[in-house]
Amino acid sequence: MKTGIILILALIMISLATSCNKNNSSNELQMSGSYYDNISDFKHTGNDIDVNESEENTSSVAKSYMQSVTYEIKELDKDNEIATLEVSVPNFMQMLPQIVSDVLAENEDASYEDLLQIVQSELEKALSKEDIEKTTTTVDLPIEENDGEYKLIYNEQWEQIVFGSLENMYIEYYRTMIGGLIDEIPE
Amino acid sequence: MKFLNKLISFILCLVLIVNSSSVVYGAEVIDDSDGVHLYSVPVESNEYLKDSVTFYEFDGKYYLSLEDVKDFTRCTLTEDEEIITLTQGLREIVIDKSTGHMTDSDIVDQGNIILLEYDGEYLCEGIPMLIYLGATCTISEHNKLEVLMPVFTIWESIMPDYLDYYFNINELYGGEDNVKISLICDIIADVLDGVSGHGLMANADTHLEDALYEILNVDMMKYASVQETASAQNQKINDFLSSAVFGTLLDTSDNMYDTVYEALDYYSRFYVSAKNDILLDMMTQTDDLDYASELASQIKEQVYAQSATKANLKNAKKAQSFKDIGMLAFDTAITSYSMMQYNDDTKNLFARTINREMFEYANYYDISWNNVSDKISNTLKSTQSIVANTAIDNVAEFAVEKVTEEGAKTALSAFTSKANIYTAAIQIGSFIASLINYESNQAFSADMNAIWLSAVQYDVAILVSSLLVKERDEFQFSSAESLEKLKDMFTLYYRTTIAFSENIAKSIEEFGTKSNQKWVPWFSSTTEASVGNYAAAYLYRITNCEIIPIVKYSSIVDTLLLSNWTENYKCNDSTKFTYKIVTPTEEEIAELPERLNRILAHGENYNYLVDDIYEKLFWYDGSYMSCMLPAYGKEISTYIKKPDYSEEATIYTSDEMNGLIDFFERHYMGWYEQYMGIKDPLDCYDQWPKKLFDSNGYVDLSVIFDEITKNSYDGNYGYWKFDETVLDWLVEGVWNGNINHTKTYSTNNKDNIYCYYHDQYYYTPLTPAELGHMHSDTIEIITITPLDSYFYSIEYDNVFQERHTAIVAIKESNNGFRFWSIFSITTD
Repeated sequence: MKTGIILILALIMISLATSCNKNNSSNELQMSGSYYDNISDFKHTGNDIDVNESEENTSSVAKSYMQSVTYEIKELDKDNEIATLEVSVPNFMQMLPQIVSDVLAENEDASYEDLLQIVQSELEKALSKEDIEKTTTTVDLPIEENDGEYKLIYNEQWEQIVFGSLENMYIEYYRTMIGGLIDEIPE
Repeated sequence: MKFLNKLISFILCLVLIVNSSSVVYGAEVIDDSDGVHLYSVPVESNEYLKDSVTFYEFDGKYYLSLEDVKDFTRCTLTEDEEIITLTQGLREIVIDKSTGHMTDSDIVDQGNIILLEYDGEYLCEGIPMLIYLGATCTISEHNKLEVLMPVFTIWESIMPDYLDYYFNINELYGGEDNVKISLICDIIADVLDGVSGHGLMANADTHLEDALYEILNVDMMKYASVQETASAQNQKINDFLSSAVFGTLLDTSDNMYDTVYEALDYYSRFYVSAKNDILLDMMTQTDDLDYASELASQIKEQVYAQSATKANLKNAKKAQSFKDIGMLAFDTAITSYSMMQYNDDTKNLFARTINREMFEYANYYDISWNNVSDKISNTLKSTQSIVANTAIDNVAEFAVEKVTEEGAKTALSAFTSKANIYTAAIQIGSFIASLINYESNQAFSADMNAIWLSAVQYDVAILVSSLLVKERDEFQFSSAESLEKLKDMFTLYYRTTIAFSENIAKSIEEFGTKSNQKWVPWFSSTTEASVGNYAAAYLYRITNCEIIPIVKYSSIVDTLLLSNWTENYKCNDSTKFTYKIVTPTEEEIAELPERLNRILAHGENYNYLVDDIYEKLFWYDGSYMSCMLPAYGKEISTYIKKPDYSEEATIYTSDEMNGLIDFFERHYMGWYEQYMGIKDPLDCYDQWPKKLFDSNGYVDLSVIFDEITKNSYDGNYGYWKFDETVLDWLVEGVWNGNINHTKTYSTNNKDNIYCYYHDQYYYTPLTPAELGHMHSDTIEIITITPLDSYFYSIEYDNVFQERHTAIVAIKESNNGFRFWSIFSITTD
């Protein structure tokens, strides 16, 4: 299962990477910043996604999430081609359920689709705040040099840190949902 | 979901305004004075149960009643004050009584047709309407009108409520408490799939591949609905071959082997759809089905030839055995063909449905998983055709061994029994190849499969809906090519629905809590009213359906019924009685209880209802039905079908039965034995064991029947003579309404005279014979036609009886007589 999820996430990453190339034309690795802003510093070895299509279709909530993921390169060992990063990921597991609870409490009569939009908007706002609660983890990423330009190479650990919690959360909630099926068979 | 919702409302809510023609002529009321002539034309049909049908010739054209059209074409017929509606699955043909205007499926405006009203019945031109509704009509070499319907039409294969079976996985759980969970799941999915625009599963090849293989791996044969349909379909084919075809052929044949073979050859071309140009075109494109059709034919030939040889029948004269083996060959071929379609059709299903051409055709491009389905198609394409030459030999050998080991009858039951068809199909399938299991990873859990399949089903639901809209707006169901696409897409939709149901059921089983007991069976039970069972029935239908585009009705011309042929079947109008049910007067109602008491000659504890149901009569002698009232004065075989042993075997071969052979012997001997024991003036009964039992010691029922029908004469068992007092009561009393209420009718078994009638809405409380109880039949009287001063031709059909019920109605015949017609009377 992991492989598939990783592939999804990797492709998300590469699409972001390709789309963000336009934002960062520097040949130097950014030593810190938003994952979304610096996505061109990362390299994925799988299939590429069409740049323009990806950029156009990237959803705002996904951008917000990627934007809120920040990192700092603590050590760049070019000889051994390894970089040590400290990555901070929003604590989605706590944040999202709280936002949803608040929205539900304040919008009792709203339709599901409206609720979804409100939650999305509230989430984007929350992700853009400076004081957002994050979990920080240290991770080593391989680096690769090509014509004097360095790239950070995704690995499974990185993907797990950035997206793994989302995937786990989705599965957990999905299973909760299945467990909570009401007894009324759909007509 | 928004798009789909729009689409649903578009499809379901749009009311097409039918452009009525300005020419109005409506149903023309005609009667005999208008020069109407009736023809009782002999028919062979795989749907119509009677041996002949009445055509009404008027103004040089031959008309059929819509009631008969309905019976020939598997339609239902409804009528209200303004319109008549013929329905065949999704297809609905509405005829306006006042204008004769016909509209097909709310879409195809056929303009005004000639609609006649004769003697209370609505008539339309017969052959064109039969063809229009999908029948193939020919004059057979036996000089009968042959009307064959395909096993299924595409209209019968489209789930009318298909969108009810699209499941948005995130909406399934329902309930306020779960809205929060749903929102969270949706938001996470938005984040995960929001980047590339390719969905949560975007290019998650391995996940998706597994889920897509689940679609191909759907095993529809394991569902009870499919087993029931497949066995019933085989039974129906056997009934048709046995009664309409083999029966006639064998009567006149010196060489039964060749006769049966020729019949098999002729009808297999119809049943494996080789006559169908559309399918032939498709075969040319795919090769596989062409191959399948050819192989099915070869299987049939081999099974027949080898079985006949092994059973040492080639030079024998045992008609029944030839028929059994012929039908076995046929069933084996049909089942094999069905499995080959199931297999080869499925193998390239994604290639036919998920491709650029289809996206453009449906104008829907938001599918992210076509790269994975392409990969699967390429993988499967590179494998050899699953149907290998060796499969023919194996399938044939399988059937032949069955015949050798178990006898043709038992082997045949494998194909006509719901319980056995799966085993038979799987056994055949296993010879054909690894039918059920395409290669899949099996690496992911059912819950992940369910998630991906839900997304796939969403796309397919949109595609299939788009195709339906296209049919309506552009093609009006008139393009075979377009309908073929629709068929393919529905096939994919049903498969996806079943795969989703099976996986979400597994998922609920694993992770669910309080709702398991309801939800798991609701999704995936193979026997109950589950989503899987329902969708599987339609998957079977669409796999085996034939595509017949809607054409312009006026373009179909009857070139079949020519006057020099129909002249042979012209009715003598003077002997034709017709009648209709009328409202009884108050006096008539008031005297009814007394009349019934007198007729019954005992018992006051009965109920009666008035309803327009079939008229039936039953004559019961206390232990077995002894007087079935055949056509009085005519040979029994003209009016009574030979008993269909296989059909009854299906009814009675339950688990409780200890042995089929034993059962056959007990049951069928019983039937004839009782009859002959009572009505056997020549005392032939005691001679039967010597004369009629075969070399294995089993009674050869066909020979018994032949003996009865061929070697008999009036007064003996060739004519089943009805007791004169009952005949008097029947014809003079019931038919002509001249019951003498002062006279007590008596017979040799006075106390046991019962007149039973049957209401189709009732079920008999008497258990049929398989439980060891009394086996009783009622008789439905269809027509009673005086032949001369002494004899009456009585056409009837058998049904089961119910008890403690009397159902009557006042009838008025065309000679003005009013009489109580008893539809149902039962007593203790």
